[in-house]
Amino acid sequence: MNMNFDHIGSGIGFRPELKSYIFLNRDKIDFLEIIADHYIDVPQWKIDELKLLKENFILIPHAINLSLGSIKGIDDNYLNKLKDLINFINPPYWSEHIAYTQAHNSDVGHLSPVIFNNETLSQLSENINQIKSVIKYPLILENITYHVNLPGRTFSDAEFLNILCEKCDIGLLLDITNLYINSKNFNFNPYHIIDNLNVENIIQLHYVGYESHPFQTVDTHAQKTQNEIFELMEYVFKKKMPKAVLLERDERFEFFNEIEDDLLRTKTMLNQYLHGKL
Amino acid sequence: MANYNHQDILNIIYTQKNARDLFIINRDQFYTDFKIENPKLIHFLNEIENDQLLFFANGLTAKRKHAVHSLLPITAHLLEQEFTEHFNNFSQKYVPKGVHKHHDDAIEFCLFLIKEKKHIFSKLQLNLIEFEKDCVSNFITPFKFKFKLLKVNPVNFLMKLKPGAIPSKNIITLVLWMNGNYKIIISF
Repeated sequence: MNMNFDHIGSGIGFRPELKSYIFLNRDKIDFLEIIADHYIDVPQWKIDELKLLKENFILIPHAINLSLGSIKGIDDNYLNKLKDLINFINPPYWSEHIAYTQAHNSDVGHLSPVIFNNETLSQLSENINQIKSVIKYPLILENITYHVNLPGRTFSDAEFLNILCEKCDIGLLLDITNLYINSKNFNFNPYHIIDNLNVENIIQLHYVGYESHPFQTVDTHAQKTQNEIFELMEYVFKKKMPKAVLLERDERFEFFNEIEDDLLRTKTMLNQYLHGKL
Repeated sequence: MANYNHQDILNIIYTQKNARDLFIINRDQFYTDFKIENPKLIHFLNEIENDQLLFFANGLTAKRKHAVHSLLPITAHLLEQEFTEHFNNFSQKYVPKGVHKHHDDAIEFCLFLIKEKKHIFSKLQLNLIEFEKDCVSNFITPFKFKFKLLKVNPVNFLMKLKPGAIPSKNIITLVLWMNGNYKIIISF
């Protein structure tokens, strides 16, 4: 996995609702992550939008529909369209999820958890190898929230992520909010997971605020980032500086002050730790 | 024996309410109905906790609903509080797929309302739902050139009327889609 590039910095997931804000605050944003699916099979005005973003920012494509964990394998048609998009963007790397979205000839409709065992590792490995033979850019994979803890797991979260990265020669997109949410819902210590991760695999972080409901903590991507998440971020920074850190906000865009506070706090922390280490 | 793997079965349970309800109430009957005989698969399914399953499955429907609600602001205004009930009803009959699954879902929801729920709407309201369906279709398959004559101005409706208000004036409106880029609305 060739990840020999400079630190990219602090970014935000591009959403059309944030377009004006992003262009007005370019000094605060080092890169953008775009949802790859939003630019596949789309009208020309979306392609023009992508060109504009590419001219002004480093772009990291984030795919959501490859269904890497699917037993049925990878959709070649989608894979080829994704390849064309990523080749056009020419990013330092791209990302997907450790999940499946398709089975039984239909979409689940969302990222669904896989079982953390050897069978899944083999399936993921087979699918990832197929993808890597088509898309030549480095791949990093993201941990998801799993509100259903599927039976049959034989690995802890950290063990599974470590083995997967090593076996498939990929990087880790550590979503610290997802890690925190899983830790709340299934009563484990998120710091313990980070302690047991091979931090050298961490290339990028995702973060955003979470929502607490009576019986579950959920990832609505709609809240200001809480202190607990920033504390986790700082804990990671102390072990390994990721190449990039991204705010993944999908809702309540009108609260620009929350978004700005999150970006500023992250950038300040990034600068502090990067300069401390350089 | 049906040739299901665990992901096929999970997908059915996650997305089909009737199957999920049966799975929760009577798993043996579920296995019989779906011809599941593999002991390993049955053991796996038996260990799934109902509360976790329900939370995840309900979350999937909520996310679908939220995405469609965002794509259909006029229809959402027309339905107001009933949006959730109608969408939940619709979502059991249709599972979208593909890159544009949310757009696909929105189009099918409009068709569901137009065909199966037309008795709850006025002609003007149905006109607006068709307009929104065309707008979403235009995103997936851009029209090179298409026009539609409406008896109500959707822009006026969105900007001037409060959520849930019923359009009272017939304003003839010509909507044009050109090269899939945007729509031009002329009212007279």
